[in-house]
Amino acid sequence: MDTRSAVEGEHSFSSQEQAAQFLRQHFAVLSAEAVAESIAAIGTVTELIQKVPVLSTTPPGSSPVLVARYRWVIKNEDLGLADAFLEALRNASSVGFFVGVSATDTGKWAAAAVGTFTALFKLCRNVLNKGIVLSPNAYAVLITLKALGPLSSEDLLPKLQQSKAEWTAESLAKTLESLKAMPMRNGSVRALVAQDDQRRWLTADV
Amino acid sequence: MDRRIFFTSFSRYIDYAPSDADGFTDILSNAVVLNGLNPLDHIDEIRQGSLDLTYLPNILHECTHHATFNSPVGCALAALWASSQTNWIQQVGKSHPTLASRDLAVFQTARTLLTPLAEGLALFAEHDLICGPAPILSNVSQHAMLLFTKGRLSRLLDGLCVAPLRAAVQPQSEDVLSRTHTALLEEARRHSAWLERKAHLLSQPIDGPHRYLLGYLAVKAMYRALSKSVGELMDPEAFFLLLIRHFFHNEELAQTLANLIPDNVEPQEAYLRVGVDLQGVVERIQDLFDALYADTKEAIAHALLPLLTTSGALPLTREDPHATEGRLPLDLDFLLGIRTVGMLNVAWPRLMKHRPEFRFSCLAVEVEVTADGIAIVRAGKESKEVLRTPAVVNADRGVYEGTVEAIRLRNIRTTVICVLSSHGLVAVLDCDTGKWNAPELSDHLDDLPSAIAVEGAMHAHAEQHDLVGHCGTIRDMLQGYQRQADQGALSMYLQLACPGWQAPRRQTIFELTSEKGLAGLFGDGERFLRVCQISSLVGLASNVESVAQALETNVKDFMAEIDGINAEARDAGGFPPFELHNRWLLSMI
Repeated sequence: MDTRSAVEGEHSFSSQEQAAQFLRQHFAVLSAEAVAESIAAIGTVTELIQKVPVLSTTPPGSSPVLVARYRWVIKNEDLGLADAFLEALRNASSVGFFVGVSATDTGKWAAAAVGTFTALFKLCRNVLNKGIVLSPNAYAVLITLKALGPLSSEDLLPKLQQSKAEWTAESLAKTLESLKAMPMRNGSVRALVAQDDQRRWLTADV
Repeated sequence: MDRRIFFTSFSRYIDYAPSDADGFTDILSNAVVLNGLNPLDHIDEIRQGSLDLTYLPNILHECTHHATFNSPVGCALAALWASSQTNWIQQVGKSHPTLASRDLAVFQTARTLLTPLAEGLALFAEHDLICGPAPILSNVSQHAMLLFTKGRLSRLLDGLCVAPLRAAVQPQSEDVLSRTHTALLEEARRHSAWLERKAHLLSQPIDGPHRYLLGYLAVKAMYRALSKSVGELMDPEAFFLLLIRHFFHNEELAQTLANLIPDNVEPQEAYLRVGVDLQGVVERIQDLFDALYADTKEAIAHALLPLLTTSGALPLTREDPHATEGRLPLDLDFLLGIRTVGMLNVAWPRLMKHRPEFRFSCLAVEVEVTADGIAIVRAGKESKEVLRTPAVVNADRGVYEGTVEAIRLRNIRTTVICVLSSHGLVAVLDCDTGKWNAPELSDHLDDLPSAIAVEGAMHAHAEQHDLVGHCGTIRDMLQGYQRQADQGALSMYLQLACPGWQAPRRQTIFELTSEKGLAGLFGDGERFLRVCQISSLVGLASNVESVAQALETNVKDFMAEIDGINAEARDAGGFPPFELHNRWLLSMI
């Protein structure tokens, strides 16, 4: 049961199954049912569904049982991030980014999409938790590089332009530079992309 | 959750937020409230004795509390708790202690000193208690057998033929019920849900609320020490009963708790008398621990021999007015009566009378009793009708909050399902006969209050406690004694859990376990879970080969693993959790 918890900005559930069901219904609006099903199934792996301990209230003078209690929580900001990811994945799939998978072959597409989602979601969520906002362009670059990299800038640009014609060499360079040295709230700098010895771009530490 | 109302008189009431806990036991009424089990959905299972094993650990735990406080010391503590409600008027306007504040101070101190032991026993029942060769059986095991083992007998007997019991202590071969019950417990304790409970226990802070881990480690250490001293105490039932009866059936301790202070004393003398009483309680409890270790055999004789002539069952009606079983000595009865006579208020439910009945499930419902005496029970957010049956003659007419509760009566043999209001019985089903509202049961349970009333009374008492401590000097006295009791309990139980250790080493283990319990020694990852798994399989003591087999490893590798775990614990400053004696592996955790 979704308690629409007293904590703003999150959905709270009394079981993992209920949280997964919520994700299934949420993602089914945005993507193929197979994808929604798969992402719901990995909700705890990606920490989209978080398990939070709960303290129960007992009456004064009582001797209570010792039982661990939990609630399963999905934060709205995580849902927003996941939505952005799925949007980028949908664009990626429409131009055949997932080699050997056609857009209509939802089973295989789902497996490939989920693999990318799993790899990148947790990373980006940790980045977001440090107060950094990633733009949709940044997501698109990360997902494309994860699926098809390593790629040179010259090879990467036409791939991105297939889903969004507004991409230019200049905007791509700017996005790559920002992902190369992403400042964190704690003062450190994190690289989400890097170049190999042939100056091709790839995702870093993913 | 909606708030509830509890009337403390005709016109006054308190409102409170109901508990959302899985279960608890009330000190005053000794009522156990176990949520999450709808008795109406489990009537057949209850009748057959094949209740879902999911409920087994909570029932073992709370049944132990029920058995522990169904005793002279339990009654004394209940009376002290009630005293602030019944005698608070004496405290109003006075800056020196009267009976109400004296009783509250004594209650807090005794409760603080006895809680780790009570929780340790309850957790021992959950994770370690099995049947042994001694011809005695605790009420806890009797209740559990009749609820869980009886209906699984033939399946368990088949299992016994295939796989011999692993435990170091085994019941007599001809004792079918004990062997099958032990097999059931061992099987249930291997499940992942039970392992999670053990891991949750062992990762509690050593000085956390209710001191669960501290109490458990102390009881386990006491088992180890006392069974070394008297081999017969390797029988877990004998050990378990010894501790319950030695501490909680001690009438001298109950008398000390219930001591009176006169009304007309000088203020300074009143403070002095409270201090003397508290010192008496602390010394009495310490003496009990000392006596247990110094002369264990005498303690066994005194505590357990009477059990050989009784069954622990009590009659529902006072058939024999000369029967003394379950009755308190007259002088103790009088002392406790002074505290509880004020509860005979028509607005209050009868809280003390039904302490020996063991309730083991509770469903909050809406009850409607029609003019022609039909009880309609509705439950859930949609108020769906779940039961319709004739009500007993004395049931209140109208619509009100109530409960449906499953109860094992004091005669041990009868299980009933009751529909209850705040003031008593609405309807009762005998699970064995399937008949509603049998006259003997209706008479006996006529004034049994619902769990909702019990919880309301708990909150009402707590409010009165605040009033008793309203005066600054009284509040300071109560807080000061509470602090001392906290420190005393921590020191005492650390010594029990770590026998023979010097203070600096005890301090080290305290610091290591102060945040995450034993996970502080092993980390809270895979290693810790492995330790929990091994301790769960071993129980108190088990054969090395059988444990290795259960873990799908060979004995040599398993023993190397045990050595590694023990070395890791020692290096961290803790105690080795496992000991090996002649191919038997003992678990200290």
